[in-house]
Amino acid sequence: MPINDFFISDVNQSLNTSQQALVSDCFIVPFITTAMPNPFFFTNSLTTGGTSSSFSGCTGGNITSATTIIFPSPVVMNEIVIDEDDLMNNQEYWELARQRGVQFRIRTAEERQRQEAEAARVRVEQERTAALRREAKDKSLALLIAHLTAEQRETFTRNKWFVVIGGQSKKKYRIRADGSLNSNIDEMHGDRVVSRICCHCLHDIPLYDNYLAQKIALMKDERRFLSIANRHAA
Amino acid sequence: MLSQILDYCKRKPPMNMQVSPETVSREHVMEVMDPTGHTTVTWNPDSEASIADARREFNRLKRLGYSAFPMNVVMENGVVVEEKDNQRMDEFDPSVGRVMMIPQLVGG
Repeated sequence: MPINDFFISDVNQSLNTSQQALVSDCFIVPFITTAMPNPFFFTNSLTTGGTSSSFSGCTGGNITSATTIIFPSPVVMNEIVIDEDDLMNNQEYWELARQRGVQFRIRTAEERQRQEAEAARVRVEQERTAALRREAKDKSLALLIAHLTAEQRETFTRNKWFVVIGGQSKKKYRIRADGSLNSNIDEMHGDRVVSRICCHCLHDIPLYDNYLAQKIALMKDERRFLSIANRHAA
Repeated sequence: MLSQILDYCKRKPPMNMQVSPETVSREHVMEVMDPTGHTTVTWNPDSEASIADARREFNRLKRLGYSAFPMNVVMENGVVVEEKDNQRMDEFDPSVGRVMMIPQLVGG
């Protein structure tokens, strides 16, 4: 069957009789497009048109239909001119590549030296900071021990905690000095922990200075200390 | 004879008679807790200039949020045997022998 009749018959099925009469007056030509690998093909188009009466549903108007036929056509490229003066022979090309390799290795070596120097500088700085932190920690430990009673020293050395009596309420508070400041104060009722209290200095203060500050504040300013502290369930 | 005198000078006094450097030089001490551990500020209660410097440092630390506590403790052989109750110091008292400056406390 001719391809036009094929398409006309397909369209006619969806149109009424007046529309079918109109369709028969026009060409319906399919166009086939393919993905051409060759970029040098462009498309040209040919357009035909026709005028007919209105479709059903439209009143008093003329409708112009147009058909566009698209077909590929080859295009001739301009000739490529090569300037032989810009070309290098193999030996020159090899020499250029060798020089570039040498420059790359020099640049890489300089970069590596710079990175190693920077890493060494950072390492020295970190060691210096760690040494200062260790010194501060030892100093704070000596200060804490100097302000502990004999009983507190014993429990601190053996169990990493010591008991402090509140200056106003005379309650017992156990300060756990095991390396953490997180709710490290236990409010005691006899041997039972009633609640846990969290209150400390800023984190740049050495650890054992924090424990000493907690001890002194509980003994000498208990009410204010408890008003600042957060209390948690045991 | 001279050597005997030098030996006598070099000999340390017994432990129970040993006096602290603060008592000999009458220097009072303010220990300030900071990221380096603690720093020590001293003042001579007999010197007005020294007291003024210490008071200035005390007020500066108070403005930063520090709390001051007089450390009235009785020590024996370097160990605390009695801690006398004291309140917080809000004003600088040059007669206090040892003051502990504690940074601002925050609830965790």
